[in-house]
Amino acid sequence: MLDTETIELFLQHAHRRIEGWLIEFEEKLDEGLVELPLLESARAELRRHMYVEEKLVFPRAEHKFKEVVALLLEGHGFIWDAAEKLWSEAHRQQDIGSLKKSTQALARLLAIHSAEEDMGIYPDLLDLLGPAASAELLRSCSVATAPQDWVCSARCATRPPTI
Amino acid sequence: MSEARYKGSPLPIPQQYPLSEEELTARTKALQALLIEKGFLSSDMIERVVSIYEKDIGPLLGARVVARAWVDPEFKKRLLADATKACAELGIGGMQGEHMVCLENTPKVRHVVCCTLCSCYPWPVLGLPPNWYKYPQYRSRLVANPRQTLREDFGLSIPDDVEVHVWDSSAEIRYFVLPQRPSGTEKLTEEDLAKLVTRDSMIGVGDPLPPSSLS
Amino acid sequence: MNEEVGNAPSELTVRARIAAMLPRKSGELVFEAPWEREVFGMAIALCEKGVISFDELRWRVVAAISAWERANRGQEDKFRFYAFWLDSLERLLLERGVLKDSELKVGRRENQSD
Repeated sequence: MLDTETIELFLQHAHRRIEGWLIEFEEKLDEGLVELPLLESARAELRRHMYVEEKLVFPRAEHKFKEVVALLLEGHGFIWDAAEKLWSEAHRQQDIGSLKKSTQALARLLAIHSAEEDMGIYPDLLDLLGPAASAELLRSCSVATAPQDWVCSARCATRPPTI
Repeated sequence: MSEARYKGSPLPIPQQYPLSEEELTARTKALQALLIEKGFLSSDMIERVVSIYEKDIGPLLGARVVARAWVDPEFKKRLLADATKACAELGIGGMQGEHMVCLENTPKVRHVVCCTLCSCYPWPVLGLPPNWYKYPQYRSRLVANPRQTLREDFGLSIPDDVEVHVWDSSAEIRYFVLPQRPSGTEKLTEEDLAKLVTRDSMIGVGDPLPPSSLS
Repeated sequence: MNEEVGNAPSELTVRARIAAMLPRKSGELVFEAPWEREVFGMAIALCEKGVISFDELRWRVVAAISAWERANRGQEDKFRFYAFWLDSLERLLLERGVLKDSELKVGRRENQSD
């Protein structure tokens, strides 16, 4: 009996896809093009992913990984703010140099955050929840979509920019 | 992290980053020399490990589909008839609306798949798209002159009596290739067969590894 | 025919799980410098040999990254993923008694002068 896709791989793949969209967007910037559809794909996937984590994954992991989850939620806030900054900038103006900086800033935040999740939380979900519950979590995560009006709970647009 | 993990061991204190490249290089060299001297590792071992991960053997899910098709003729039939459904049998199928088609290589026909965007890649079975896959130059050269491109870019020589079909993936239909089973693998387990399947062989720009690569 | 060895994850599974955790750019593993490749190679080779456990290594890496992140908000451009691997690997090897602190120190001094 061969293994199947797990909640761990599902979430990690989401990270890689989001990173992929941003890398493509940045590569197009280097060609002098602002490809908004690429950014929209990144935005949609990132938003959905953060929703799924906050609503479905973190609550299941919280009791065992209290400190880490708290840090990850905080990280979500910074990521959300950096992402909002990028989306609004891309729609407002087309200064390639500035957009590149904002894209890289977001990508760096994501890289650190993803490392913590990919190496820290995700691989432990299967053990933490057991095969049945993690399969169920996978099912609910794969069909979940963020409501139109959902915003990240940790965001704080009034925080002074650290990027 | 959970305290329970660190019973008897203090939590790590972060180093003062950034360390310079020189320092990192020196520390790595020092550690490596020490471990080799003490017989824990050899430099061959280190290099071999890196190349395994760099070649991305797997990508796991796709490799399993191929290995299953190699050992189970009924599964192979189902795979060729409806790849999305057959992959779902193995629990594979990440995103919604993903429609996959599997193309079988035979002694007379070889398939190669291309596309220009990350999004046309069959994520669930092949994991991440390689860098070169996205370049428009790759696509146009492959379409214009597949044999030459395969030979020059990928070191793959295809005999003249074998047909080469180039397929263009789209967001609607994502293709992947079922490579031919390497010879001398009759006695291998399904798991070992999966280790021979490379991402490039499932795109059509390479062959699976030979059984000798398992030792 | 597939043989199962109890519930132990297969070698393929272990490798795939590790592979899924690694940073990639367009599907390719990202190594920005030769030392990163070596750190990665050493760590995984030691895991495969059973000298250390990958789980223990990754927990230390994550704890180190988290602590660093908290202390370095706004300095994200200084993040070097494999530097945390190197640090955590050294610590783990010291903790496990595989290496002695004095040996590491001597080694570092010797290689610094290269």
